[in-house]
Amino acid sequence: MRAMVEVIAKALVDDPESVEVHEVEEAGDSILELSVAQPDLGKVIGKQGRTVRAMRTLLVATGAKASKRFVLEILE
Amino acid sequence: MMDNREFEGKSVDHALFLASQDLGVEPEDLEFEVLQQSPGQVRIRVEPLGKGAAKPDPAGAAEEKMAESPRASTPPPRRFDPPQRQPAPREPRRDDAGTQEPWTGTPRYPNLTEMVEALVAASGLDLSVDISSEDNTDRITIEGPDAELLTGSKGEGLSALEHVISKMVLRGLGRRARIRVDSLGYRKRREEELVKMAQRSAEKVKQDGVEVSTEPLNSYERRLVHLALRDDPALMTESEGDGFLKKITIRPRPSGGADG
Repeated sequence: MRAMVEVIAKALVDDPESVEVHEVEEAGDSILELSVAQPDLGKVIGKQGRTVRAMRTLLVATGAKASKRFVLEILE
Repeated sequence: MMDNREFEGKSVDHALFLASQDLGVEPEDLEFEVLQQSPGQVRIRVEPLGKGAAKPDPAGAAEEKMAESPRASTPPPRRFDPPQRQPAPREPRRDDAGTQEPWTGTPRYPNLTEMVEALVAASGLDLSVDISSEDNTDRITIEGPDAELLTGSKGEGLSALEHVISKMVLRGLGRRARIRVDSLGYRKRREEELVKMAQRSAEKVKQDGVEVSTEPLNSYERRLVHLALRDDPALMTESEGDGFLKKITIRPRPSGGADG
């Protein structure tokens, strides 16, 4: 799911080069740590957190298929 | 400014709704400023958000408005919330400015189809995508073995895809479009259900003379409910609440005057 978060984030930001997603396994869950250039933070979060919430919703759907829980975190 | 338009309504949402109807855009795609507000009567001035993308330098306009704004001390007030219903964002507020800045760069994808296909491929879901575009709306139909994963829990997955793709289109393709994502006929069924629900509630309001509120609905769903009951002279509908999900209250229209 790293790839999906990366595809989305890279399309949203002004600085796609700075987009990084690290996947960390933790107690069977998969933590996806997204980092973007500081000025792009708002673009991946979205108004009232709507964009990050949408990404989390999509991760629930994909997690259901993979029988896995994906947790998206945005690093500042 | 030519695109600036003023609208009156019973509430900010109502005025915004009328504006969005008149201008043919989603309410969320409008910037607005409350000009005048009294109980049951609100006047707003709206400006379509897409404008910024077409004009390279909207800074002048933004400054001009900032001077009029009562909230000039807060960071870039590109969007004017009515003073009495400041939403309490769960995430830090800095995001407001970020999402509304016009994007000026090179498109990252040659077209919508390739962009959506890249997204679907990366999701690892077994889905096929069909896109048809008309007017300013791109209808994306998703089918395949994994489609049910998106239509579950009230189609949250479809709404999430819609939002993400809209934003990706705005920034990744450098244009603004209304994106509708449907799968397994879910949207159509949901739309029919909503209209039926609205009509049932309307009957109850008329029979019992009470107010009925819907479940929280997004802007597109609210539009359907408002439209379904718009022509009933005995009723009025009003969106109530904060955030992008709001309930609609259906109530008897006061028989005396025009405003409630």
